[in-house]
Amino acid sequence: MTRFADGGLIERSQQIPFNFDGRSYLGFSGDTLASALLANDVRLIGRSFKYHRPRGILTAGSEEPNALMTIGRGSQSDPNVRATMQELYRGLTSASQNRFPSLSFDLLAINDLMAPFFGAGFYYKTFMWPKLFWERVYEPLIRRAAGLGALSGAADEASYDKAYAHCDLLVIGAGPAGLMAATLAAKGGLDVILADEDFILGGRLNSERVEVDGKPAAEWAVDAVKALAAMPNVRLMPRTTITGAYDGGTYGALQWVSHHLAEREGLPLETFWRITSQRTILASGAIERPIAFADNDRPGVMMASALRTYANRFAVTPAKRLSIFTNNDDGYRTATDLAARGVEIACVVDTRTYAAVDGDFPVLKGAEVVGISGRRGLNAIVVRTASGTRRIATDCLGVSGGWNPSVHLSCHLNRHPVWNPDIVAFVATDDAVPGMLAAGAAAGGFSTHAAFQSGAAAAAILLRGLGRKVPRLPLPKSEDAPYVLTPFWHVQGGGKRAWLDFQNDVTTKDVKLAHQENFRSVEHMKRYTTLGMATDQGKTANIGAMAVMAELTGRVIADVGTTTYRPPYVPVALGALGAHGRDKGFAPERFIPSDALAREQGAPMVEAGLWYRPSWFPQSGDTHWRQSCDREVLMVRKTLGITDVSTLGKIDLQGPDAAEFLDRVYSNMMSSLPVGRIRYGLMLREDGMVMDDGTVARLDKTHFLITTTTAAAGQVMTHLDFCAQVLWPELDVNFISITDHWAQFAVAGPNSRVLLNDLCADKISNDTFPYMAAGEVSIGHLKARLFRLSFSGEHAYEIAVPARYGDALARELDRLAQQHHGGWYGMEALNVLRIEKGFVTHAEIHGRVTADDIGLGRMVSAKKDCIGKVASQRPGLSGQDREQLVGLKPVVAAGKLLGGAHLFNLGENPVRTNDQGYITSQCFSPTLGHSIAQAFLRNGRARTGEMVDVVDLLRGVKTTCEVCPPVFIDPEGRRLRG
Amino acid sequence: MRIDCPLCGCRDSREFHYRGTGKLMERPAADAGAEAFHDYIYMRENPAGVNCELWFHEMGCRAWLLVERDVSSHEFLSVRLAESVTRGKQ
Amino acid sequence: MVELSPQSPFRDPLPFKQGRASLTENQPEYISAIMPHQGQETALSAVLKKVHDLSLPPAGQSSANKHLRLLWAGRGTYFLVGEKPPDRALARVASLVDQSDGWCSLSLDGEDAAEVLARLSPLDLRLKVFKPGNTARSELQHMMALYLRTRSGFEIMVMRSFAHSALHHLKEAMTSVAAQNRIAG
Repeated sequence: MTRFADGGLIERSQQIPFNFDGRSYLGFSGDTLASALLANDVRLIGRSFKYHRPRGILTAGSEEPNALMTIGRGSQSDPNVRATMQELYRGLTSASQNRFPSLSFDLLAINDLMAPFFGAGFYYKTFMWPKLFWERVYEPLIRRAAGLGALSGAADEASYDKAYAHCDLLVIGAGPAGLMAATLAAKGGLDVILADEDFILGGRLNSERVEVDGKPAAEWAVDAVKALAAMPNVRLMPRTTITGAYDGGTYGALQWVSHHLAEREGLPLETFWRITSQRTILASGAIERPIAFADNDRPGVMMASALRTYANRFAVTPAKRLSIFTNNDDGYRTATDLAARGVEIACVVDTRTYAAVDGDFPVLKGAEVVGISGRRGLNAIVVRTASGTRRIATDCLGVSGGWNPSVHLSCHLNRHPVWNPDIVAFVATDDAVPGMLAAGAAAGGFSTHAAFQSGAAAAAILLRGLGRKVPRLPLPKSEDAPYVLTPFWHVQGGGKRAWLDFQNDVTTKDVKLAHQENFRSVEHMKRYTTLGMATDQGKTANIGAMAVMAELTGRVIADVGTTTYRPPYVPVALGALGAHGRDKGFAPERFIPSDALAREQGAPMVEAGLWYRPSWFPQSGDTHWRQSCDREVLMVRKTLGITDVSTLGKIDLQGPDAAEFLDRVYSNMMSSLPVGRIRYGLMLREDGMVMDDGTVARLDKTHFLITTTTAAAGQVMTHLDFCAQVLWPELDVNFISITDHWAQFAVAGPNSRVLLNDLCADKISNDTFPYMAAGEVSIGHLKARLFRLSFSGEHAYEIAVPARYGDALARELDRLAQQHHGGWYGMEALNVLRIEKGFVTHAEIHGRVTADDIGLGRMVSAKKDCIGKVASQRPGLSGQDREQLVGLKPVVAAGKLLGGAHLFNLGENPVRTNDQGYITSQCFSPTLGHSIAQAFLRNGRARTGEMVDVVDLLRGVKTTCEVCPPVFIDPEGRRLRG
Repeated sequence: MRIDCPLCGCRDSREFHYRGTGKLMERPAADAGAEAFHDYIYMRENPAGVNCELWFHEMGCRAWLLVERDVSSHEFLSVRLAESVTRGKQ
Repeated sequence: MVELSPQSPFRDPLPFKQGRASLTENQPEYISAIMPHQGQETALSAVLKKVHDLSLPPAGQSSANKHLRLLWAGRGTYFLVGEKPPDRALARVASLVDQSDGWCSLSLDGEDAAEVLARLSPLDLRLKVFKPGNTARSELQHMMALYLRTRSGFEIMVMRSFAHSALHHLKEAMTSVAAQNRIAG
């Protein structure tokens, strides 16, 4: 065990068993998986992406490039989880990744020996040819050899949540700067959200042995958090990473809700938040950067600050005999802290010659680590000083190359950070994201005091900007050590590779190669070497590579520049982004008033937009849907059928200028429509194509009811709003959707009037209620609307009652229909009926057809303007070069017709250049006893009686058909009017 | 993005439907001829800067809005009710 | 002669309770859309005062008396909700459309009501922004909705055919929030 006997923010009374690669271990409540593994002296935790090099834990935070684990088993497994972020829970099962057959013996470690072939640009150069090899050889090879954790292949059983939050101030990061800013802003009256990735708020206050206001920093943090939690205008969000900054003060945030729990029943795994904030303080801290030297990726080489975190927060030391390699004063802190804990300090290797820091340990000034020994675990370092090289036995090396402010979020709106030579790092510019200020280490203030001070200052600026008073709040007393650093990026010389990007296996050699091959701009270098393109986005890697490139090109880093950062800051599961979008969350469901009855009768439901409509109504003995469909069609033609048409868009339109408005939006004249009558109408788009068709009923002089197709209801409503508000606001017209208010049923067939006279209190006749009449009737005491309309070609009506009575009316219609050997018909029969009659739907008016194409050219009134009129009259949109709507019937009765099949002149080669048109709708007509179709055929109306070949090459069907008018049934319309 | 609807206040852009250029406000007169309509229907500016656009608050109050937006920064410079703009011209 | 009997838009039983939130069905007898004719807002306001003792609320607000509430329901649209249909005198200055069966209404109440709704609506639900008596048109998990903030929570109206989906999503959100609150202690 490498756990200290006391101290740390862990709960020693709660021992927690967990599992790694099949072995059981014990940790404590408060541990991360990483700290628990280190406490159990597990050093080898994974293999690298490309070379399969043995790897250990490098950091203690979100930036961890090496310690990626698969957590959980089977469909509940979650790959690529950073062990440094995963809280320990009872029974946690973890497995290392990218190794075969086992972590300690990995066959693909041979890749490491092949490294000369696998350098930067390797894919581009190697996998060029032959082309055939790409899919069959190269890709499977790469997929097997290089990679991270694998998905389980099973559907993700976890549930995810999404939520919105709004605040005046979002504080990103709950370290000293964030706590200070949040406290001041909250006291100043702002609604504050304070979000932090960690499960304990406090940031590095929990990792350092410093005092704040005379007490240990971690204790001060607990008190500060408590005070914030007690304020009603503060929302604390631990375990929440701000993943992206977006326009208008919107931020994405990923909250780990139950990753830390053994029992997750009923809980989402994660919640994806969309936080809207007026102002933001970026207090995201800083990330310590490595120094590149030979074999610096070996297990046992860690970040110096991470060693402090493990020692101070988790009471763990992976080191028994520790060495430090540093270019700044911060490295000494680690040595001091661990020495205080009784860890032997082998030496501090300082690249600087002038360092003035003291400690009770050997210090080698002006020295560099040039080598490592211990493949799966460090056992010695080789140090070069002015007086030569020497080998120092050590089991752990803490590296500190200085600190990089975490500026990532400030770059998400495409602003670059700026170089600050004082701290030799990039810092965020204020308002890089509008309304955002950086504070604390994120702004380059690295001492505890600087963090408090700049957190308070940022909050004060924002409070004032929002017109608030800044409350008095004394700064806590804390250390204010200077940050003294001499840049040192990588150790020169030696033949061995020195790592820059641990996760994507990019070394200083790769950057040199990129330079040599002229990929010298940072953006080119990034793509050529894949630097920073792994899941950690190069949090520990990028700056080192830029420094190497700067050196090679003889420039300074400020001139080399930096690549930018894009969301997300950490990997986000698609399941979280798509939360509430699965299953029923994908789209709402709309149910028709007779839904329950249709389901009781066994009708399979089909989606029509968001609606669910019955496809057909099976009867006992039916073995195929066509039997049901054919029966329903013949039933309507012979006696009567009923169907729910509530899904049609219904719009109530009123006002003194209503008629004028309708004249402008419909192609045909509506102002001449008498009260109590209905007219079929066509709407065009402004480009002259047909938008939708429907009916207009005039209920009163200034009161109309218009219908749209089910599919276009939303589009038409939006279009009418556009016309009324944008084009002609001078017209006094009001309209509103009443689709949901009315339950509407079609009653179709020769006996439809008989049924209605059974149902309604008022008796109707052909004289009192002729074809295309609209009026009011009574069903008992209930007022209903009646429309004499037909979509089947039969004598038919549509009757509407307020929707609360829809189910009752459906059941009453069902009862009455049965008395006349009639009943329900579904969508399939409805479609057959309208194809037989030659009525169009959106299968025909699909957005590329004009009124003339569907034979309704005369419906574009010559007497008035309307939307789309001018454009519809352009040459080329009518006449014999157009594909026009026709009917088709097979020459042989058994001939097959298929939707989407193309038409060719008889006997011509079925190739694109000979194409004459295509089928839009087809069905078997039980009335006629053979298949029929609606089709668009070039100059079709003039070709009645001609033979054409209908060819479907995909399904291997060729049928010779006769061209006929699209109306197969009752072309004179006698049945409609009877 | 967030759009400050004159009726509803500042709302997430998911509530809005983007229609296109504000030029659609200027429908030619019925006798303006095919060329004018061709220009109205198809010809578009593509500025790398402030663009005049029509948005529809479809999931909100259903008002059509005429906005000025800098398409290179997504900053909204103004949001007005389209009906007020048209009325103002009439 | 047949008399048709009415039915609730909701298939599943209500009320529903989870944690610190409850969901109940409202059954207003009448919901009527009132859309003033051009330039008639002031006249409408006067008639409303006279016949219903209600004032015409500005955008995003509502007015109420003992029997009726008048909700701003979108551009140029108000919903009169309650025991009575609109007085015909209003027809001189506004278009009146019966929406009684076009919309269904739920009350989401309790301490966690806003937390629940935050799962389904992008609205800023903070009490200082969305105050009791305020109304808003926004979405409820892809559905158009009309919200009214009440003293105890929210009234949520969606179009009737969406009733089942709205209920489903609200229940799911309530269950999830209750479970998350249990672990938060």
